[in-house]
Amino acid sequence: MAGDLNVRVLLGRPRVPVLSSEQLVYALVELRPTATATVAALPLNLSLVLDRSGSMRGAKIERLREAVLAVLDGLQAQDTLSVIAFNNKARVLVPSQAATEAGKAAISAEIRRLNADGGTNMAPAMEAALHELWQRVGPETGGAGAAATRAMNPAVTRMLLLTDGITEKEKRCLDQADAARGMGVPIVALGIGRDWNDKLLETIGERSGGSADYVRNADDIPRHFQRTVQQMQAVALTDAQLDMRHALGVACRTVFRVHPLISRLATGAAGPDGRSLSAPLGEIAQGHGQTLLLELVVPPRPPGAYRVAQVAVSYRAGSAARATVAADVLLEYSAAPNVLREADSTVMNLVEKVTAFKLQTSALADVEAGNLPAATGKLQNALTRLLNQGDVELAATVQAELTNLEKGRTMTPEGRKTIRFASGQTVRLDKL
Amino acid sequence: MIRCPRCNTELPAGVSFCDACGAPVRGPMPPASPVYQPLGAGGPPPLPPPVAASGPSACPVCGTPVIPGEAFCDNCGASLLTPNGNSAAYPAGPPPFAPPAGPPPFTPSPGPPPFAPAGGGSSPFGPPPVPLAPAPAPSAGGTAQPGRLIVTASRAELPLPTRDDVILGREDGQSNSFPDVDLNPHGGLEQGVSRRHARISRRNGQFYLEDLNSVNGTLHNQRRIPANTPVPLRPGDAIMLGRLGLTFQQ
Repeated sequence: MAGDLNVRVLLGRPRVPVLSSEQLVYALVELRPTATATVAALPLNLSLVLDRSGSMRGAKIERLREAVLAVLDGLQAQDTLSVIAFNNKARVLVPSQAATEAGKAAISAEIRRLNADGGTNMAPAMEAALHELWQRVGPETGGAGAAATRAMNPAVTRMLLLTDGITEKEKRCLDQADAARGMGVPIVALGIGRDWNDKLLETIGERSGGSADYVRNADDIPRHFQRTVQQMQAVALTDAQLDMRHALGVACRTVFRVHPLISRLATGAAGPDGRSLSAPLGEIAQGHGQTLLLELVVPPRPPGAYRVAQVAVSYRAGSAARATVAADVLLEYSAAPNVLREADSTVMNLVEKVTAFKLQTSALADVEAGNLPAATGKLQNALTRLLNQGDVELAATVQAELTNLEKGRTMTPEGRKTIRFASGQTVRLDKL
Repeated sequence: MIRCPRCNTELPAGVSFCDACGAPVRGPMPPASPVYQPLGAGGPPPLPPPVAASGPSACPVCGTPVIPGEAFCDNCGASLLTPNGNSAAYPAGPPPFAPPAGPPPFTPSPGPPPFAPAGGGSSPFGPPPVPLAPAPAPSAGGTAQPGRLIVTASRAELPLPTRDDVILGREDGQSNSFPDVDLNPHGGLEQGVSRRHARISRRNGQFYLEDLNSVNGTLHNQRRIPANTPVPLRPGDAIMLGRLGLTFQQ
């Protein structure tokens, strides 16, 4: 229903000077589900893909068992769970089944038997997980295509994957991530310790429409698993999409999501006449929802108020039909003096955080490409931005890795992983 | 059929904004620029003369061309909005979503503010905010009024217990955290509120706010406060724990 979502636009500068050239304006778009949207919890369909290679022996496998049992505890009878454990081979420990009391008893017995030994081959386990997830989705929808399936089955679906090492056949994991996207299954890819490929997990997260994160040590495993289930339980609206239409002469340079995580959603004007742009937004959770940051390039105009763009967000609430909420991006061109001094600090602080994120992401790519001078320059600038934002902890990590690079050493795996995953977090959720 | 009052494009009746130039079709007419000539046919209006430059057109650090209005150079990340390249112009953190009581710091005032410091420095974003009036003395012999916090997003009211030290945070049985004010029901976890985030204390009728070394920090009237340093708290003050906005009232 249209009453399910509030869309609010906040401009970095509500008034801009009258110039003879184009100028850039920032606009924040806040998407918040209303109270009515959050009444019934959507059922969950979750598959856990767990690394049980030899290196997981000891604290890691113990905490992993605890984490899975805690997840089980938090599920309800309407939820579906499957568990796949892998080393060189994948084994379906728990085929897709409802988390009823009886189901839970059987599942926890199986989990307690989980032990660690062997190598690491992740792709077959991901494939098995998709197969198990499909068991819940497929039969209810008569084998229809992915989009139609999602329309008919409003469950919140996830693959949660944990690994501590380098897997064989990384390319096949990426293929599985693409398959997951096709099925509408976001993958949350967690890496623990120092020895896993952070670039691979980040790509798996991106390609599947999910995310990736760095689990620092065994004791953190249960918290990460809990958070994933809580986030699934907080989903209010699904299958959201952004559609923007601009006035003549206006262009949208980029769209970033800034909450819950920073990521680039779209770049450049699109659409047949260059005046429209679309981006899939995925799920919108209760409470804070999502926040987007738009960079709009606006043409010269005489003084006055203008609608420079229209923003429409469409979504599904449960199994109801698709609904849309629209909002205008209104800008005033003013010849008054001191117009430039008015800036909304909420928006501009997020612009600075996104800048820090872009610099760190680009610096990591430069390191991979062997372009160390570019990397150090960007990390230096990211450091300034982070300190300005009061993000002293991440700044310390960036400083330490900058020093490593300047002294001709390589980045530490832990430092690189921290930068890769913490740079996109506008709010630190660990150690809360 | 109607015509856009700004650029004369033909528009279907009932639209609020011109599809071509974006001007509002109904509502108060914005003042026309003296050099603006209405066009005979549709299309965007002619370019007016420039009134103000809006920052560098090339990054002062790396020389990459930049568009006026960009806050940071897309190539090297340098700040573009103050002459010496610092972004000290921005306050330490985002304000709560409701405007704080009192004059917003970034609107230029029509005349000199009554309490402006003599010859005071000017921040790039306008005259410094009017200093707050000193806190009223506590009423003699009576107990000071209890405080309360209003959650900005939901307008929920959270009364503060009348003890002298009130801890704000998130309840977590597993780690034995039981703050006096639990912000879990108000989105505390996802907005970065630590289990032990901040303290509101009261001494001689005056309230103080203190950050308890939280992970995501505490803002007082949009300024980040250093950890373990109590600052005076007055009715109407804006508090931000992580990203959760609150207003303090009595």
